Amino acid sequence: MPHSPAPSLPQRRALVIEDDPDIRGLLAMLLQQRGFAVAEASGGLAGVESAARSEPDLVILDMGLPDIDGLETCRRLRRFTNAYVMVVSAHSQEADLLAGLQEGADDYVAKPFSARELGARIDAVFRRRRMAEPPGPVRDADMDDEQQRAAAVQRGLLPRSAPEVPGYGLAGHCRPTRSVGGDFYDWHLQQDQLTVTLADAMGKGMGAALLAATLRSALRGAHGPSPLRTCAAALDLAGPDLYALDAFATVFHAVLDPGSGTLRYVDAGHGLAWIVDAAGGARRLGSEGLPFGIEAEAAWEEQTERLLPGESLVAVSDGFLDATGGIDAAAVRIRAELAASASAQDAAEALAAVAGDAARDDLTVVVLRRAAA
Amino acid sequence: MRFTTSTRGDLVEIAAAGKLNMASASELRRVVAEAAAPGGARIVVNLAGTEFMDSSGLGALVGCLKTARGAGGDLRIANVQEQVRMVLELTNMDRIFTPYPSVETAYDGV
Amino acid sequence: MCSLDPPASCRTLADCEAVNRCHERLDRLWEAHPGVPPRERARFETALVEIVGNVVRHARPGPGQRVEVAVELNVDASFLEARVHEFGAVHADIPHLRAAGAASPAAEAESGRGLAMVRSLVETLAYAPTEGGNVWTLRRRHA
Repeated sequence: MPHSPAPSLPQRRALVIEDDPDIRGLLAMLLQQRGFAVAEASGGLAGVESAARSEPDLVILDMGLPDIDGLETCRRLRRFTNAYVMVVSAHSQEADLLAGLQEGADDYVAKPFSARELGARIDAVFRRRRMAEPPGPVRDADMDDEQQRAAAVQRGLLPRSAPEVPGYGLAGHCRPTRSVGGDFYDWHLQQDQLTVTLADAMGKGMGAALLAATLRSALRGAHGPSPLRTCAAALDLAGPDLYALDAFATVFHAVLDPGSGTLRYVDAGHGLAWIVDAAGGARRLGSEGLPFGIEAEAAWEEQTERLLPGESLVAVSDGFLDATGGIDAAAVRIRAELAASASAQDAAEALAAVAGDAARDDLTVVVLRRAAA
Repeated sequence: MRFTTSTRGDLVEIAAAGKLNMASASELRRVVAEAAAPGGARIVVNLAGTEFMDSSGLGALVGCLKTARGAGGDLRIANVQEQVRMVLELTNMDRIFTPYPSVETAYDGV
Repeated sequence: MCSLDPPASCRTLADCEAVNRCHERLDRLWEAHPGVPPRERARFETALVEIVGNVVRHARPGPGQRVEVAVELNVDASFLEARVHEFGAVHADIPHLRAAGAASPAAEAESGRGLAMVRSLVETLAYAPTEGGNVWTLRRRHA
């Protein structure tokens, strides 16, 4: 594989002050992509010290820090640096953000933030564009690099482990291919309610992967017991990015009450979720709504199902459809693999392997299995 | 790093002594592959003597787990020391690799 | 701040041995600074070895060069600091994705895991270009 050209040396320095290591890593990566040499600090004191030593041009400061608070950090920074300071805080803490501006911050970003929005603002401030892709034969190497990065972003979106839900097995699997898409699955157990999402941000490469990240953030930020309200709120947050990129995303978003087995869900253009019953039959869950990004306002309906003991909820991405050759073939395959598997994990892996090595599209699967009574 | 393979009842014990890092990772994989080869082996990696593990060591353990399971067996770890426990917790891998208090109890309750 | 070894004298090839040497140097460092609690030593050692490992595995040499690594260690009453120099390496705009193009998704995930660990173990982490290469800086308060 040809050696891709070395990226130009960073001309500017950035500092990320954020205590959540995952968000810190994501911000560092975004900034590095925009050509900054990045320093990271996990708290206010360390951040101020780092700024004194490295003299950054840009500081991204989280207002919710564990040691000295964001506001105090901002004050201390302003005593010695003229860096462009962007404060970041939860959407609901607007007062924080405004106070930050009063203490000398230059701009603010509310969480969940969109990578694209943040990038655009930084570009505007520094009047710097991402390194333009060189034309000609080098292009393939660049594409490979970008695919690898997109794959890494995509993998970073997947949950690391499944929550324990008594009486249920939960598993997900994403089988990526060389051309990376914007598939992801997510889950979340809170106050005994289990939220499960499978989504696909249309497109390939880094754009789709970052869009998927924005969407996941938006859904997580808006999560609650009502899938309909969650999706509507998430559309508010992620919508602008989707429209700007002329992109859309299909989403299946469900909330399970484990005790009763009641499953409330919104299907926004996804249409690839089934409930497989104990006898091996399968019924596909209806998809009434349009994907995210098609309409400015949510016009979805929330639907309700019930997962009885011995039944399973299976959701797949359209890579599965490609691999099996159609919706009916997909259903047959799902029923077969569920019948042959002892656990949600086995089923998810078996379904993900359906495409084999010839897969052209990412294949994502989530299996939620209710134990037989 | 030194690896010693022995049988303990119906378990295969692999005692690892030293530092589990990029230098020793491939040796661990080789030793486990050998132990798993006959099929169905229940392996316990005894980490009593492993004072240090990094992400390549952890990656090797993950690879070993897959190898053991792929051959119809399983792999567990026991006698985890402080630094190794720290790494497992930081990476959330302690859900996948439950640290058992001894080789004998690693497969208790299956 | 007392510097234990100046970088010029311990610049070596970036290979497995570099990682083993790190452990040895840290053992000597702790002997010289017995006041650092064991838990802090473990955290610092883990983070440092991850970074050196990252350099050994993933740093890409510039044209006609070999990657060499040098580690500076600084300990004082409150702080632990390490500077890991990668001489002769291309600047990676996304350091933990340097494995891209090398082996497998597994390898990438592994190095991503390594850097994620480092983030949880240190208070400051920086990666910047320098004369002849790049330098990682890790810093943590131990007291």
